[in-house]
Amino acid sequence: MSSEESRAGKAARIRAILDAEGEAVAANARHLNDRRYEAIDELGAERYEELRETVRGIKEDAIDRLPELLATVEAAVEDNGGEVYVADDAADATDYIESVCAGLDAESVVKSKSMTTEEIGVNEALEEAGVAVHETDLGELVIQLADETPSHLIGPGFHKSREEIARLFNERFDPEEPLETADELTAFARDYLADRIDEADVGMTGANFVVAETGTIALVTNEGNARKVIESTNHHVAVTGIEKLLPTLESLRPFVELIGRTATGQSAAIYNTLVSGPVNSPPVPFGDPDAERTFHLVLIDNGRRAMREDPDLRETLYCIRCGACNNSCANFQSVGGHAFGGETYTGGIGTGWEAGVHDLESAGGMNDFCTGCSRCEPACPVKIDIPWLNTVVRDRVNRGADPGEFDFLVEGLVPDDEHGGIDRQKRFFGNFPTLPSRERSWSRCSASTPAVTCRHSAARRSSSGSRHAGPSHPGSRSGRPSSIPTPTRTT
Amino acid sequence: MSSGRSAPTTDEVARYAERAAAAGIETTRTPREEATAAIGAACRGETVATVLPFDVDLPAGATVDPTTAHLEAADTGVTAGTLAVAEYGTVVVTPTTRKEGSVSLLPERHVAVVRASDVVADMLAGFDRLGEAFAAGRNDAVLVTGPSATADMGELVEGVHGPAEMHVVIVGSEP
Repeated sequence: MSSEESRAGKAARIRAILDAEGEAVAANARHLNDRRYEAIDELGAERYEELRETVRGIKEDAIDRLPELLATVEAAVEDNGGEVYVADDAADATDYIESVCAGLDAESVVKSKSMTTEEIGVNEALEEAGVAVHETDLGELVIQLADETPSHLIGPGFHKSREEIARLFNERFDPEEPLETADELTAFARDYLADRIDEADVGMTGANFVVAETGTIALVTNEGNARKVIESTNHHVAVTGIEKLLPTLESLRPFVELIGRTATGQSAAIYNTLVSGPVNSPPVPFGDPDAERTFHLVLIDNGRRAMREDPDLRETLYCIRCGACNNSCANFQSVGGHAFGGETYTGGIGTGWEAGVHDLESAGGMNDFCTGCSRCEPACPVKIDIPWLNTVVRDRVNRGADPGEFDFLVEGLVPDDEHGGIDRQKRFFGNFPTLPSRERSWSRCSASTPAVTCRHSAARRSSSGSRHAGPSHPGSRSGRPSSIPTPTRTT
Repeated sequence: MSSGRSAPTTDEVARYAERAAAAGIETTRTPREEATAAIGAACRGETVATVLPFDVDLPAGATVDPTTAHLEAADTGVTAGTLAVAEYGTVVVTPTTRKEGSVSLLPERHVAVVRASDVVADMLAGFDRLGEAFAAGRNDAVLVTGPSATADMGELVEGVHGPAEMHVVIVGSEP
């Protein structure tokens, strides 16, 4: 529990969010879950597992070879006639993007959805510099108009019902006939955004994947806004994290087959757009003889290289940001991303991202919502052990807590030299598969699985750091000191 | 133009049509000599088009190399599909200076013309073909698997920033 907020205060805040957003969140999360199950069934469990293994291997290799892939992509994008800028942090990135816009005398930028630009605060930075920014993804448009933050990795307006969106549009735009249905709202947004896109000088996108060898970015959308933004503006700025690099075009293929399924329960997302530098398409409107296209790829570090060196947080870099962990989370399904908190990323893998790109405080708040139930783990297409990341972050938050915050009742009446580590109940839930096999015969890892091959084995989560291990867990059935490990592991 | 590639089995084209239907894409299969008429039959209203990079004529009513005004007034845009993936119902648009990027995206309806020999079984084979195109410098591609859609307004709506309707004409294949 965060010491800045009383227990009652926190409960009241969650209740308020539940009242305001719970219904829309529950409907959206459950719908996406059902669709994900169907899309995976269509593929077949065996092939799904094969694809997960494949993409996991590709990401492990790519993060391992990150410095090499960065050099490769810089050369490839330049060969294609574009430019690459590797930004150390958010300020470095926004300074660069501002300078690109200033160099073009840009007055307005149209964007397709990008969580990385949320992370670095591009919109705020550009608006302060006098450049108008318009989001073209309809979900992003909604939260931009409402001046809110995204509550989900792929559905930024996940917490808003159609009725709320209609109210927002009617208040903001005061149309002749009030908007009501999803069709009317979509048609209105399309026309409004078509004008913004026509006026814009710069098109900004994220990149779901970056192919180093060919200098190609892959953009995954359903609306078609990423391509429309690129077609209709002369200058394309693509902003993404350095962890999105993949070695080859071939290595992109299994991600294309998985991301639509785990994100929205589609066999494939509607638009997988591959762009390698400035495109050859004549910009719309046609006929400007001076039109010259430029392409800037801004790759953001902002803590990622340090995450790569961190044996626990490193796994976060494999994330493809599909949101399956959010949808599968029992608590997220009820309260949604705004209750979880986090500066940019929320729920599920959000803990790892916030710990890596922002700070432990931002990660720790949402961490309280993880019960360690592990439903997110099989949902993750890249096989990230998200419950473990939550355990690690909780442990770091606790250890970093001010040791003087709580006084012992009687000095010296302490069983062991315990630091502020994770509380034992949480440690148990977060790690139950690591218990000796006879204590967990009901768990996923079968008792006959040799410890060294079981992913959740003690070999992975070493209990060697037993200096932090508390006394035996009260629930231990064996009667001997439990080997509930501390959240340190060897990899 | 098929560079010695073996033509797909009828089953593969049939499989494409089935998966395309699941993705919300209509299909027509036509022999080469009837292709122009089949494309014309798939178009609705004002039609803009881009020259096809293979030996199939566009319908006479289609405006090729449209101006901005043509594009904005168009109901249908016709482009080539350079590749189709049967397993997913995916069609690949390769944007070039001929304006495939905007013609396939801005009108309400998109008609893609694909040679039967460019229908491959799965994504693996599809990425092999994309790899060849990239190596030859055609490194811009849009893999399209259905009409533009969003659920961001509370319900599924088709036709957001891209077309609401899609039709793929497969040439060189008898139904």
